[in-house]
Amino acid sequence: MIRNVYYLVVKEFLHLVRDRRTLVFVLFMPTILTVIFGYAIGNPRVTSIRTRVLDMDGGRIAYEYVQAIEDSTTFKPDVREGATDADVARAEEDLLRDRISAFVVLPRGLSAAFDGRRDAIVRVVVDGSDTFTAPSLLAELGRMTVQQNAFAAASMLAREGLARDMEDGLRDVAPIDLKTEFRFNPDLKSQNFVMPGVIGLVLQLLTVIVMATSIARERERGTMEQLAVTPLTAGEIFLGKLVPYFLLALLDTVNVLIVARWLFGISLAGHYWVIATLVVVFILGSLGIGQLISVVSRNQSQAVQLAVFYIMPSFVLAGAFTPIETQPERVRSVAYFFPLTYFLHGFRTAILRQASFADVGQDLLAMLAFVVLTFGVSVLLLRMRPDVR
Amino acid sequence: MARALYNARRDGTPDRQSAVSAREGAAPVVVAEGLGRRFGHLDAVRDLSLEIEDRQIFGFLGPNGAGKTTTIKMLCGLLRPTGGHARVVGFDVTSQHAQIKRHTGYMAQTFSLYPDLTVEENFRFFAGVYGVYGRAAAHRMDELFAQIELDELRGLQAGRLSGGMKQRLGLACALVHRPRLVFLDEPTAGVDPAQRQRVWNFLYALCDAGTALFVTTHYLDEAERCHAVGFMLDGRLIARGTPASMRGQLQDRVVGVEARQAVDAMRALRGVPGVDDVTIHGHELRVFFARPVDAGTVAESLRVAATRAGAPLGRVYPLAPTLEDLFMTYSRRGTAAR
Repeated sequence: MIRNVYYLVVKEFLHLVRDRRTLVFVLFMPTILTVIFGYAIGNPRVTSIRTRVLDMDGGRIAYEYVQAIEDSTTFKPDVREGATDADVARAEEDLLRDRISAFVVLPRGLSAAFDGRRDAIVRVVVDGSDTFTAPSLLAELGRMTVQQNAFAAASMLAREGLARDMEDGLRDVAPIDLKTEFRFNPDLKSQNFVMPGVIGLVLQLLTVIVMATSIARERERGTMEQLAVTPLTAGEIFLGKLVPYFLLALLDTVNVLIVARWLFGISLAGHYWVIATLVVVFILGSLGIGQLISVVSRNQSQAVQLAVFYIMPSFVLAGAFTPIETQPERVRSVAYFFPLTYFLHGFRTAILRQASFADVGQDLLAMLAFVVLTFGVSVLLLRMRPDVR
Repeated sequence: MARALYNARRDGTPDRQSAVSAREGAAPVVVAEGLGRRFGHLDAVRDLSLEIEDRQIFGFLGPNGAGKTTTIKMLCGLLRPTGGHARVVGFDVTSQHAQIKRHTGYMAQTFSLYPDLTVEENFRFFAGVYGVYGRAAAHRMDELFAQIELDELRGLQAGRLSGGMKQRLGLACALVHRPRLVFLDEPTAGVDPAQRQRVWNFLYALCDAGTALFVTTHYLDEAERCHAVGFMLDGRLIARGTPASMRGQLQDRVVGVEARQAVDAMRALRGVPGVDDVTIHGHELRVFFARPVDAGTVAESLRVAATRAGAPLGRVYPLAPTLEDLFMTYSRRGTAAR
């Protein structure tokens, strides 16, 4: 048995050596994708929103606003002092042409209205078609406005002699302070949430696609029939496919983890044995899924179609970039059909909370179930119809 | 062979057959009884009974879709029969296919080796999975490659070989474990005549060395070279025997006729009572009769019919039947039955 698997493994490596492109794909694709995804999705905070600031007031309050906006990384401000109505019209035009994402109007007489206890209005116009930037922009401006109002109230109390000074006044009008502490990820580094997602997706992509085409390729070439007349058993044929791609996937995991650590500063503080076990079981589960896809496909293009159909929903549903809790109940159960879901949960727990085997036991068991089921069903199907092309 | 079949039929219990097969020498390599395979509503193979002697080349004939490949797959243990039973090299095809695989070789119709691996790598791989490795594999490779003239091609990727070379490599890979019986599904399809000759010389050498061969082919001249042939049509084995005895079925039933206007003459002669079919071969027509006839006696009625159609005949003479004639006769019968 071991000798038969050995010959199959040698054959598979020969295929890889002969097929340079596939070899390059298998060796470098995960690392390259990790870098791309890492930079693309690694920092989900919105920064540098193109914002035009139209200062028609020129007074103190307008100055405060301009200062605050210029200090915030949320904005990439373009301040127009002494702006006129023509500038407002031009800003509307630029918003339509998508040259800016928002503009803030600090109207004439803003500071005077503020001092004279009349309604002071700051106008902000936002491109609502971008549902991602609009909320962060509003949150930031809202925070500034609350602050300005608090300052206004505090300075009034000081002026009327009801408070000793500004600081005292502030304590009176805004007495509650929110004190926040972050556990497990103290700097709230988004990489620690996003990078496990990237790693999981990339490894899933590699293992499922590569494995899905393996048996399908033998069928397409007619070599499956030739293998079927040899004394090789279905289990040996599967192991012969599994071992080489398992080893390559492990190599890729190491590469990807190195990139995640040194380029994106992901924390890998957990117990190494727990992390390693999670990775191994996850790779086996994904390879199993690929194998199942391969067995039910008649040729490589069918296999790739099925693999893509399987992988695509996992990008959204398995919780790679957004927690599963954010998904509607109706689709949430679909997530449990991806070993990726369990891996992401287990992996995040392991690297940030120093989880023990007991802590990730459920995730490990679920992934093990995938391994057993996919390989069991694959062997049964192949044994039933060995020569199907 | 007929007697062997008679014996097998008479004491047809599986146990007795295995006892017969286990005996060295004359034991048949294939014994099939009532073998059948159904795909949904389609009977690909029906009630096939067959016996193949050891150390023989058995030619398996029949039009495309007659059930030849399905039969081979059942005998190799690739496909489970849905009816009847069969023993191959002494083992039952349903319950002992693992043993059958160890003692038989199979070469598929289409090239089914790895095109990206070299000739040597392909051979070493199949040697390995058949349990031939190390020095034994190297020795077997030298031996086979010399016989089959593959020695200079060892380092070449299999995908770059010509059709004939691919077939030879396929053969070498099917023979690596010295099987007692080899199934060859159209081993010479798409191979030029000189290469076909080489392949056949090799097959004879193999047979002489003690291997039985089960060969499907579309080339009727190749069928003539087999020790025994079987003819399949619509899933049934409708005739079998030696090529000579098969041809004997058409003895005195083929008459040659010379005609200038061949097509007109063919149409006219097809209407003559007793004539089964007429085929054109240049200026010669081959006229098939449903029953044995004397060429001199039927000549008159043929001439009359042809002259009436304005296509007068030249000489009329008896012809020796060929397997091709038989093949055409059977195929025609099959088409008529449908």
